[in-house]
Amino acid sequence: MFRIENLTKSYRINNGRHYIFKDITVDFPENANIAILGPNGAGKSSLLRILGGIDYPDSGRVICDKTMSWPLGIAGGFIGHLTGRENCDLVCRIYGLNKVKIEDTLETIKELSGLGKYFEEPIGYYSTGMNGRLNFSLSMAFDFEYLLIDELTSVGDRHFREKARNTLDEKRSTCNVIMVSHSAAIVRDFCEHGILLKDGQMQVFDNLDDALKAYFPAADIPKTARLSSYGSDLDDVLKLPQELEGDSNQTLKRRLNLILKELHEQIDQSDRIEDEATVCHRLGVLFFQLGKWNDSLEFHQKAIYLDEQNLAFYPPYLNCLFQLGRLEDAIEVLERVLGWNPNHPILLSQKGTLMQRLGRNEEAVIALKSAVDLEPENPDRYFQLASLQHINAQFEDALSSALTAIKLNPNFSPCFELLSRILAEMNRWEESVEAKLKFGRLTSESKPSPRDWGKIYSDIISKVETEFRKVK
Amino acid sequence: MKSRFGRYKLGYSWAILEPLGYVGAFSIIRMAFGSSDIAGLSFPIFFCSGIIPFLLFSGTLMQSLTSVSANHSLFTYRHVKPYHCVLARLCLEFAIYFVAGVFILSVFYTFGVQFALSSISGTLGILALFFLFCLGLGLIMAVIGPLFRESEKIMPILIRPLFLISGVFFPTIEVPDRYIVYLQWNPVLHVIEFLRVNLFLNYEMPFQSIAYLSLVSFSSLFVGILAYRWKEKKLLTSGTIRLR
Repeated sequence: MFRIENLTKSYRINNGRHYIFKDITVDFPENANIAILGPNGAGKSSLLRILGGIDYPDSGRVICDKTMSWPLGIAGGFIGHLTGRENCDLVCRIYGLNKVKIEDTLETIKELSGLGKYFEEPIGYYSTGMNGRLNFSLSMAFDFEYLLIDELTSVGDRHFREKARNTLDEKRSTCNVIMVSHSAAIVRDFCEHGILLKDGQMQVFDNLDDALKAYFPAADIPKTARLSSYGSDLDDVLKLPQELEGDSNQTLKRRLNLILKELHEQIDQSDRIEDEATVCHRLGVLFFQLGKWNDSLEFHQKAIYLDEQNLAFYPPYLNCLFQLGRLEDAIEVLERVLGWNPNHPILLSQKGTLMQRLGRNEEAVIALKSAVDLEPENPDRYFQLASLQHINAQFEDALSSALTAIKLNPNFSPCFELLSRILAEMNRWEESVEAKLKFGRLTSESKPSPRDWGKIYSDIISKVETEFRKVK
Repeated sequence: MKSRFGRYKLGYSWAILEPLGYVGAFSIIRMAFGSSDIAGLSFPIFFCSGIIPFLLFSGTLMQSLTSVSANHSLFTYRHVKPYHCVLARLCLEFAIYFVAGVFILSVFYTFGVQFALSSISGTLGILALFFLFCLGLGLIMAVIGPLFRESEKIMPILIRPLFLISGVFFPTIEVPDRYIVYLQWNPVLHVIEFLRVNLFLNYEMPFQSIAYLSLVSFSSLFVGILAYRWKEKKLLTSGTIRLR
């Protein structure tokens, strides 16, 4: 029997009370490894703390006759000025191990954690990863029936995760895992059931994939996380545009194919999840440049699915959604990501663009203004703000924004064009003409060469090549 | 909880140096006035027996105040409750100052400062009552500390004047009767004077009410446990404390 009954938990916030659970009754799957999914602030960690018996709900109770570990998380559990050994010793004593057994246990912990000499150094000097490794190894010393893990990214690198996985497998018959994580790949490694926390609701899925699907609504997730399994589609997708079919482009085509082959190999060899995500991300960017929005979108989704926390993956993904006109999805993604990180200038400016396209100009202005505040040195932000203010007929504001942009970048040609239009609206004709002339001068200087596909493609290819050199 | 001693490795010597510093300062002042003993005791002994219990008292109070927030990381383990921390800190303080007291007194004795011990069992009895008294107050402090952050500022202000009226540097026998009436309500004064009576032969105090001291100790313990039981969950519940 493992259930929570009429659970209510709230926090006092500045104005009033925020309920994360309200009178929830849920049966947990028994003897199962459970992943707890949900956006930040949904109460995942609180749930774990309540299960672990170190936090109390406002009302309701947890019914479970199994022993729970303490929540293994990034923070807490250790005293900073004591060494790793002393801390483990302390915890062993708290859990009532006798002296002889503690000696053995400490050595086991030292070995499993792989900390080596750092085991004898104060915890305060440890990195997050080392902390997590020690915490996990320590918990292995006790025979808990449930292991509560808060963000297993805190359990070190890929190598250690495999070790952890093996240790857990040995304990399989007696020990289960309840885990909070943002990374689908890690959750897959450990769990087969999922619980989704969202808007104060708790939804139990007997199949982890269903839970993941429910959690990533915008992305249609493939059954397997490995890229290589759908690698064969890659060639199809990358069929070169018609423009490249001419004789003169044969060499280019060959080079592109070579790069693709290299990519395949790279993907096959990479066993670090982080790399896989980056590869997907880069592929997404590549396809975007090739004008293949749908393929680009697919890879961006995969990148985000593999590493949800990497904010750098979102702006190109959103651009893709914009291109495809999937504005509703874009809003949802933007709001989710800005929920974790409200001060991301690129995302804010994208929000501005999005709101503008939806005709919600006031919100757009707010978003753009905060983007400008965050990056006061970036002329692009001012330019964007200026064009929006121009559309909103706030010409005075638009003028000052445009002038700031030009001050930051004196050769900002599109901005001169905008400036000219703004000035015209304000009936300042002479200045308007002057700005237009300046625009003309600037554009004639940097006119792109005639539609030379080969040139553009070879640029892209060399860019991609250098990118991948970097990865290697 | 034993590992908590590790924190005080440097503090050990301070446990002796701190009261010695006070004793030295008072002795110099007293010597300037010329008199060599107080109420039949030589003054280093007298000050010493006053300052150690007082430092112990103020120390435990201030420590209890921060015991919950300072040991926050330990509450990750479900068996560890806030009162463990209060108790551990209290035991530690008592152990340190007990050793320091014995050490300082024996050093004085070997260097020829004369005094005669009166009743060891009586001394230990008083110490036990004192322990209960501090435990009760400590529990109250542990509850107050996290719930009202300002208490960390207010408590020193309250303890400071207590220093003056707790008989640390004067014997009650020298205090005029009309002040004694008020002074004797102070339990810390009781403890200090009782300790001296029990430690040293020929030391006298004008009022002797072991009943009052016991009453105060046990009621402090009672209130302390009550307050603690009442707020224990709140101390552990996230959101009450961490959000501040």
